[in-house]
Order: sequence, then structure tokens, then C-alpha cells
Amino acid sequence: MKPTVTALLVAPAVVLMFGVFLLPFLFLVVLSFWYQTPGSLSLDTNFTLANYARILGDSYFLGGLWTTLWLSAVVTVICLVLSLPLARWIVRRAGRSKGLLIGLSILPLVCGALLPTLGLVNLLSPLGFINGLLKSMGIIKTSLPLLGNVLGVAIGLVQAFLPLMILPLITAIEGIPVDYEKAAMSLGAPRLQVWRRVLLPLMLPGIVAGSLLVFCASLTAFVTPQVLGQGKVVTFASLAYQQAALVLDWPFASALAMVMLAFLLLAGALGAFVTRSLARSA
Amino acid sequence: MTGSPYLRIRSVQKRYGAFTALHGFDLDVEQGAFVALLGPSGCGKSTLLQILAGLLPADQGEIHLAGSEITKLPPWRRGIGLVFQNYALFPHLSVRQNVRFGLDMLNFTGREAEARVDEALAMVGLDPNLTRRPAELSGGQQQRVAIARAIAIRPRMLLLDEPLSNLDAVLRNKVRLELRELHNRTGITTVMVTHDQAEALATADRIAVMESGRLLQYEPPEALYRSPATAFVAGFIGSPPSNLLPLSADTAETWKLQGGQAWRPVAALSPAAAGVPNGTACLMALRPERLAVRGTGEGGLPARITAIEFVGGDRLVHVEAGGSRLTVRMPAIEPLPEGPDVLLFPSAEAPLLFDASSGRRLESTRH
Amino acid sequence: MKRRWTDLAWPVAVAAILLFLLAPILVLIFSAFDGGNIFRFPPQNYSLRWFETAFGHAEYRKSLWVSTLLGLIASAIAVTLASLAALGLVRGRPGYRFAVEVLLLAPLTLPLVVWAIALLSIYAQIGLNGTLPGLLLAHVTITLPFAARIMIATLGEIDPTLEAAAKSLGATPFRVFWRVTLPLALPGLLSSTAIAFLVSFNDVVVTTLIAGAGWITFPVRAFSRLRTEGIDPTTIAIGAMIVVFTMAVVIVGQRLLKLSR
Repeated sequence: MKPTVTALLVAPAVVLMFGVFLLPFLFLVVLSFWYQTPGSLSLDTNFTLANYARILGDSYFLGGLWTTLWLSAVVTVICLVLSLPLARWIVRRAGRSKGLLIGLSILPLVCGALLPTLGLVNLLSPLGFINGLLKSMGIIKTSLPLLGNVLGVAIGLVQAFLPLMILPLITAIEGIPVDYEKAAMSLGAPRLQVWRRVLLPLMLPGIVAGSLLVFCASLTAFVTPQVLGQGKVVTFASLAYQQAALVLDWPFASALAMVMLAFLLLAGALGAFVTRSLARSA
Repeated sequence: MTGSPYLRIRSVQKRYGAFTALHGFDLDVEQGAFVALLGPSGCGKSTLLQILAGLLPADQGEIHLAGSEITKLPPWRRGIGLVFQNYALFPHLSVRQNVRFGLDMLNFTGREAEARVDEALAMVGLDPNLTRRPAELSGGQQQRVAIARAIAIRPRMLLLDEPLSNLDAVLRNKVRLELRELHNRTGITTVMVTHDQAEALATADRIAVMESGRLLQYEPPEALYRSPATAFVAGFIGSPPSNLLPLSADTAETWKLQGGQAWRPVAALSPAAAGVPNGTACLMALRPERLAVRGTGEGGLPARITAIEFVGGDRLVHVEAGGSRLTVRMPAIEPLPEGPDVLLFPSAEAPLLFDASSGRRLESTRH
Repeated sequence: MKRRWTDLAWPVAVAAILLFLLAPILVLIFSAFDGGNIFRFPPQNYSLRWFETAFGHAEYRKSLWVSTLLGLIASAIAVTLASLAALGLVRGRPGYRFAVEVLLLAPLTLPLVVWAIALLSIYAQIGLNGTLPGLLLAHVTITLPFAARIMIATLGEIDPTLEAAAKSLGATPFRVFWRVTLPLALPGLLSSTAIAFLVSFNDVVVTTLIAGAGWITFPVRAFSRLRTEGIDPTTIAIGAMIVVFTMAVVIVGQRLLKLSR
């Protein structure tokens, strides 16, 4: 295919993405260095670091950042642990229902952020199904608080982003010939050792990819923490939303967004570094 | 030889950056001939085939088919049938629809198209009522469909890209014969690319041996076998290919072998008989079928047996001699002397010698 | 004895994880059939009352209409752009392929809420805020990655020698496209359209920030109602229908067309 034809075919999508998706980010960078006096809507376009100073100086914002970071980390680890057996089952044991299981696994992702969260609200509420079940089984007397705290948000985030971990893991396991596992077992390795010495090392690129996706998605998640946290759990995305849509202090919202981006880039760089050193030592 | 050849390839060159796939290639093919492009991987044979089909442009050179120049013609105007190595059958079409594809492109309609499809399928020995999809067929059947698809359009020339390489050993011999029979029946000028010299020797009228983008020799199979032009050709053709023994002329009667030992063969095989001056380093082609193994005798080459393979009617005896590993092919019936140390006796004809550095056949040993 | 325990543990664990994954969705579906006035699971008296109300509610009807319209147009545009780009990338194999792929998939990895904020402020500057074209552009942008992923995979799987074979049999480039490439790409086109539609339909984050008062989509309406009045059964009923619809598309698509790329 001639280079000009190729360029023409690719151009529309690239122009759209660059103009509508990338440029706003660049605009955000600029915006974050401008200042808007709290309470007014007048914009001071002189370069200033005031927004960033405010984020780092105020424990409210720092607290939100910290909460978001460790919550994302925890969610990532839980997603990994839950996805590993599921992914392996789907690849090795599912047979004809494999397609169906994959479809079901990605369902929360395609349903959007809101709807599964609504169902979760019902499940986790004090009058909801889980508390009712535990009470009727006599395990607890009063309802467990599962909403309006980090526990509820964590559960919601795991449920929402499990698909993001499952898909790369499935791809990773599919790339490991089942003969490797059989060889290990024939050499006397019990199942746990097969995981530890054969599967996990070979799956590492997939694990890194999945972890990166889940971490980044959790870091910037908006709807789920809002709904399940009932306003009491402060995440960075909801802070940014507040500033942008309610307070209308866009420069400050941009600064918050930039901080989020910085962590995303850091995570991405870490992931790339790990993947590359894995490839090198292979 | 009346008039110009049917297919004329002149000075075709193809470069990929610093790498030259084809150096100024020339070839003539007679109408109705079956020509094989034979060579190891990377020799340029597949590149040449793609250029003939129009799927790859040549950097330089011209191609003429049936008198008219086709060098700049796009593939869909060349009227050349192509059978791909992986068959490339359209998975979304049935067998008949596949075979009919080229006819659709030529705007054949209804009954006439179907008649041609029947004819093509019959020619490759397939049931015309085959309604399955290509994916449900066996490899051998898929290949037949691919061939039927290419000949249904009654092409001016048929190009086959490694047709037998994806088949299992048993099927390969069967299909080899059928390809030849098909060619005899249709008379279509055919060019086949292969890396398997046995395949080329068995099916082709003429073989173009290629290496590193160059044509080494272009002759009928028996000529290639009897009288290879270079050491490479000698070491490539034959099952097993010819042994190549490195040695240098020491005196008029003796050769010096690689280990430094001297070999004094019978007079017909001496450096003097071959017309090779003292000190010349050469390679002597010793056909496995023309070597006798005995325990004693004058002029024999000392050898040590390392392994013996039984291949049906024959035995392959692998030896170490003169610092090289050689193979002897002898009827299994013949008795083998007690090893492991034996003597090899090349048949007493004029020896085939090649220059050790260039690989060219030494003129004085031309038959 | 130990062997049998571990053999049983795995499938049970896997089933539990799947249940965890799907439980909220199942809850949503089943509680929609509850006749009471609150969001209750398990449903106590079965009734289709809230489904009827949903269809009667003008506000909801309008928002569903907006969502559908937006979804159809956005997915059509996104799939077209994605297919053209995929064709160029897969068949042309340009040196910049990796960079373009990263760009096309960027919305999947970068935070949408951040982007939406930026887009909002830019739209305000150029007067696109609250308009349909502005909203449409945003939706095309968020659905393009899904379409691109599927189309690149689909076109990448079409054996290029098939196209060479067609050419050798006399097909001009147009006929190659029409009779070989297009039929083989059709499953990919269908599945990417379906996924793009679903993603656009179900989007909350971007639309909440970008859409003006005139173009409220169903999820946005549900979300804003959620924060003011809490969850009402009408929302649940509609949500359940959407989820069932999504499930049907995903499952059918997966069986027939392998959406899981």
C-alpha cells in the first residue's frame, strides 16, 4: 500500500484523537498554571504554582490523594488474586463455555460505571441483601457498614475493574502451552509450585499490563466512589469534579488533574520498566 | 527453436535496501514447458515468482509473456494462475465458489461458469459435488481446490509456490506424479518454486538452480545430475547429494588430502589425468552411488565407517575419509567388508573437479 | 483424600468469583420486578409495574431517545474512522504504526474525568458547550478505541495472501475489497458497532460534564436523580432493561463474533 494512501486512511482518526482528546490535556497543563481567585470567576493568566502549592499544603487534598493511592493499590492486588484462578479456569478448563464466560467476565465493563453500582448499593446497604442474609444466619446482630466507607468503595472498584485484569491474564495464559504445566507436574511439582515456578513467571508481562490498567482505572474512578462512598469517601477524581463542575475553579481542577496524570505516568513508567527488565532477563 | 521464447525474463533485479534479492536475472521458458526454480531459502526464487505474478515490482528488467511485455501490468491483468504455498482458499466461500472466483472476475455467467468449474474440479480429481467449505477439507484436498481455482481461468501460465511442502511424505509422492500428469494433459506453461531437489528432478523439464539471487545452471534434470556447473549444484542435487572432497594436487599421481595424507588413486583419477597443475586446491565430486566400498585394493581412499542407514533397497554408509564426512549409497544386497576401516573406490570415469575457492568446474574436467 | 479436596476447591472458588462479578447486575435485574416502592432485593411481590411506569415517563423516554440517537450516530462515525485507520495500519504497515495505535487507544488508559473537565473548558471558549455536535465529538472519541481495537484485530487476521490470490485471479483492488476483504471483516464491523453503541449509551462520566441541559442521556439522568432523590424503582426498571440488553449483545456477540479482544 502506498504511503500516501496509508496516511490518508489513518488521518481522520488521528486528527480526531489528537484534536479532541490530546489537545485538551495540553490545554489542561497550561490551565493548571493559571490562577482563579476563590469565589470569583476572573482568570489570571500569569504563570503561577499557586494551585499546586494549595494541593500540597492542604491536608484535605493531600488526604484525598493518599486515600486514592492506597485504595487503588489494594484494589489492584485484590483484582489480581481473584483473577488468576478465574483466568486459568477459562483458558484451561472451560471448553465450550469459554466464549460465554469471557463475555460474562467483561460484562461489568461494558455496562458502564453506573448500573452495576446501583445493584451493589442494594447488596451492601444496611437493609440490603448481604446484611439480611448474615443476620438471618445469625452471624451478626447489627448491620455491617458496607456503604459510605472505603470498604464499600473498594468492593465496588474491584467488581468494576476485574474485567480489566482478566482479559490480559487470559491472553497471557493462552500464550503458555499447557505442555509446560504438564511437564512441571510430571517432574513432581505440586499445583502451588506449578503456579509459582511456571505460570506466574511466564505470565508476568500480562500481570503487569492488567495491574497497570486496574491501578489507573481505580485512580481516576469517579462514579463508583461517588455512589458507594455516599460523599464520605474523598477520591481525587471526585475532588476534581467538584472543583470543575461545582466550584467552577477550572485552573485548580486542572492542577488536581495534572497530579493524577503524574501518578498515572509514574505507574506507566514503572510498568514499562518492569516489562523491559523482564524481557531482558528472559 | 522457432521465434522468441514464451516467457522471457531479462535483467530482472530486486533490492531491499542493501540486500539484493535478485541480481540481473535472465531466463527463457518455452511454451508448454514445466520449469522448476530450485534453490535453498533466501535464494530469490519466491521473489522471482512474486515478480512474475505482478505482486511485487521489479527494480529493473523486463518480462515478456507470449510476445507482449507484462512488466508494468498489475496482477489482475496478467492472466497468470497462481497456487500459493498455504493455498489461500477464501474461507467465506464454498469450494465451488472458490474455483469460480476467477471466472466471476472474467464475467463468465451461469451455465458456462459452472461447466468450467466442473471441468477444473474433474481435472484435479475432485468430486464436482463437493459442497463443503475449504476449512473442512484435508490438506491434500485444499491443494487440489487451489490448483483447480488457478486453472479454471485457463491461464497463460501457471505459477506454483512450493506446492508439496505442506503435504505429508506419503501424499507428497502421489501429488508429485499428479502434478506432472496434470501438466501433460493441460499443456499449460508451468513454473514451480521448490527447495526440494528430488521434487524438481522428478517433475520438471528444466531446472533453474538459484543461489543468492543468481542463476547457477539451467538445464534438464539429468544434465544437472551428470554435469553440475558448480560445486554448489553438485552438493545440492541428488539423494543424497554429491560428496565434495577437498584435496590439492600434490604430484602428477597423488593428491594431498585435508589431513595431510597422500592419496594415490588409479591412473584415471590422478591429477595428471584431470589436467590439474600441482598445488591447485580443488573439490572432487564423488557421487554416493558411484563409490564402492572394499576391504583391499590398489588406489583406494582410506575411510572409517561411522554409521550405516538402511533405506529399503539400499544402504547409506557414512564414513570419515580425508578429513571429511562422506556418504556411500550401495545396494543392501551387496556385502560390506568388515569395518570400521575400509577403502573407497570412486568409479573410474573422468573425475569431476571444482575450484576450491570459486566453486567453478575446472575446464579440463568438462565432459 | 487431599487430592479430592483441592479438585473441588478450584471450581467452587471460580464460581464464587464469577458470582461476585455478576451479583450486582443480577440484583438490578431481579429487583426491577419488585412491585414495592423501594429498591428491594430479593423481590417480594413480582410486578411489571415499574416497567410500565418507565415507558410512560416522558422525561425518561426523552433521555432514552437521546441516548439511542447519540449512540447510533457516534458508533457509526467511530466505526468508520476506526476501520479506515485499521486498514491503513494493518495493510500499509507504516513506521508510525505503534504511535498511532497508542494514540487511538489513549482514552482507555487516560482518565476520562480529567479529559472531560478540559474539554468542558475548551468548549466553553469556543461555544460548543451544550450542543449536540460537541457531545457527539466527545462520544466518538470515547468509543473509537473500542472500535479500533476490534477492527485492527479483525483486519490483522485476514490473511493477506487471500487478497493476493484474488488479484491473481483477475480482481481489481475494488473487487478485492468488495468480495474478499469486506465479507471477512463483516463480523468485526458488527461487533465493533455493537460495542461502540453500548459504550456510548452507558457513559456517565463524560456526558455528565459535557452535555448541556438539552441533551440529557439516560445514565446521566439516572445519576443526577440518584444524588438528589436516591434510587427510585423506575430507574431500576430501565437500568435492568439496559443491562439485559447489554448482556444479550455481549453474549451473542461473543458466541458468534468473539468480542473479547
